[in-house]
Amino acid sequence: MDNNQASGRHLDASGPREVVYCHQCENEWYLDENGLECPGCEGEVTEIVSPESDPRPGQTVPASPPDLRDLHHHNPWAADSDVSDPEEADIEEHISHGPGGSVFISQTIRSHGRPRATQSRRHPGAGPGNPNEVVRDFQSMLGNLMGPNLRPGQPGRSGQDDLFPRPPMGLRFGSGGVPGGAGPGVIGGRFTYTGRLPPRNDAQAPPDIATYVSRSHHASQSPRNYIRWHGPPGGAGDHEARGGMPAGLQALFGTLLNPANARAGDAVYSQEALDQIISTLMEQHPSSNAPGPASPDAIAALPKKKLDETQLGPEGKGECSVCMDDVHIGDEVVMLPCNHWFHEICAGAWLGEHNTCPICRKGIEGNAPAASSPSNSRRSSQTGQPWSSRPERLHRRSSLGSRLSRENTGGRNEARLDSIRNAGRLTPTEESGPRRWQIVGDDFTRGMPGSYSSPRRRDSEMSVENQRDSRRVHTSGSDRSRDSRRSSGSASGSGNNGGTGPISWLRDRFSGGNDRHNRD
Amino acid sequence: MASSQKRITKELAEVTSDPPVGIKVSLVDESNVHNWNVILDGPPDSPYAVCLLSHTSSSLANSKLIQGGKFKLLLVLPTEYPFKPPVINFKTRVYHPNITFDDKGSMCIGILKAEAWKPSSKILSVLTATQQLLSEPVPDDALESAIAEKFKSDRKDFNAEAKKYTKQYATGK
Repeated sequence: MDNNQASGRHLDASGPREVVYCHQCENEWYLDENGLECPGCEGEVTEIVSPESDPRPGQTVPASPPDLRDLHHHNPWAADSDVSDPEEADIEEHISHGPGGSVFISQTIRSHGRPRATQSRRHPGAGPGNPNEVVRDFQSMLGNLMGPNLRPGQPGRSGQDDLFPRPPMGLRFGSGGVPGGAGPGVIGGRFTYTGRLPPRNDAQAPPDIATYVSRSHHASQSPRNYIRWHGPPGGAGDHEARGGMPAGLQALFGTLLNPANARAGDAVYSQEALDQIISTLMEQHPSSNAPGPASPDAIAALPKKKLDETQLGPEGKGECSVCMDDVHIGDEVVMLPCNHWFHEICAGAWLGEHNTCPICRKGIEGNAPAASSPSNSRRSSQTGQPWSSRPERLHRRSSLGSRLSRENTGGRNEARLDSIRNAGRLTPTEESGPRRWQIVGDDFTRGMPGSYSSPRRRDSEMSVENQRDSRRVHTSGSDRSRDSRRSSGSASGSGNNGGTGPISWLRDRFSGGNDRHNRD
Repeated sequence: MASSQKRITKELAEVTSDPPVGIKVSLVDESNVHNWNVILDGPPDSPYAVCLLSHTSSSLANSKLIQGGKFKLLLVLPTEYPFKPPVINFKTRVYHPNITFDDKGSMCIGILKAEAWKPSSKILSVLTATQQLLSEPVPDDALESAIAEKFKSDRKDFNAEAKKYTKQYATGK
């Protein structure tokens, strides 16, 4: 080999005296003469040369494959810091120095529509192919590991609004690049990769970057450790426990979305994915904040009346304020408790969805509106009505299958509110007044936040609610009005029961500070 | 739902025959009463009005110098209307705490929220409420928190920004 020739140009590192090499100015000297600091450039990026690991140009490193030799000079950081990157500020966000001199790189990687094509930015000054090759191997390995997890890019999405900006470094990882690899070829998609590199220019650190690379190469047992925290979750065979926040997210969204449209493996590390999930939630709960429906019995029980001068005035003309059709004396209308009248059809259509007067928003089944309005966020719960007894409730449940889902939405919200109140009171023996339209059925949406736009109606701990629900099933409803009165008496100030668990976590994330603010 | 069309037609006739100041309404497609084009003038006392003198020549010199920016809106009435609220989006970009500053132009306004909507609310009242929102932003119910923050902390700067964007986007071109 060229060892002999090289030793002519270099100090002898195999002897008893330790040789120090400066990576900055390529100077070399004996340790006992000048110490660790470079006498030439006063740089501290120096390394003690050992026969096993000689960073000096022209020296052979027996332990590492010949291909890797160029990596001695390959500095992944320097490669791009030379380029005037317009987003250089972002690099600060992505490369951070951890404890013990270790370096964390976090970057977002996007693979493009060509599964086999590896996008690699050329590193200036890098030897032809060598670093790239290593990088490619590494990325192929990653790609294979993560390939099955990659979600195809979504059509119609711009793909530009990443949560994380462009990759700060030149490395781009293709996916599915290893021939015969296990992972299916994935077209499009992106993932975030967090790498942990040993410190690169530290005297106590592993001596050179070749060490790092070779370690990465035999890291087939460990790349999961590298990618675990930021890899897209939920891939095939990747169900081992994950810690930390992303794991919570994954579990959460998996739970939320699975029954709806089976989108396991949804990565939500980009704004668009989050947006999509939020929209999904909102679509599934279009009016979760709106007042719940009035019962058909109550609607049917509304008094019907023929219009006369008292309603229409001397002109004998008016209009139904729902359909805006003219009405005349003698037309039959229904009269709400608030003395507003409408066509029976018009009033029924609205009351079947929301128990409020179309004009003044007063509920038809009680003195209070049936649910919160913007000016009345903490709804009073004096809703006891003598005629809404238990048998009616049961009858409604069995006879109104088609409207069940809508009722369920309303009822669920009521139950949540009640459960919040109850939890706030901390008197477990006291049942809340069960809402008349409470449906005890269960569905997956039960655990979802009520709505994105109005955090104040979101429920507290699900366990509380479930517990109460199940108890409610076995409780006779005969004492309902008494309970309601009691709960109305003590409801004040009980709405700020902060929940725990993933739903609350999600809610807090989405609603920001407003939530607490509003409820306090 | 036939009844919804009837009511919408009626409301449209009302709004077009007696249009409120600064609101112009037309149908996107004459055969479909559910989609309305609305042109809203920025209220004169707001940063959503612009001084036109610098832009146009003598023709306006002796008329009013201040004119509202022309904000285009799309109002969509669901088939369930009036049981479901209309949906309004600003087609013109608006620098406003309660209107998203993007090409969607979603607006956050109390009267249209699901829990606040009632069938007796009319389109006209929605439009005037929108106009009112331009005059009086509600920063505590913001969609654009950065703009809301500016509105609260530095009104002068907010006005300047809003004016700038009004000039840029809403001068009726």
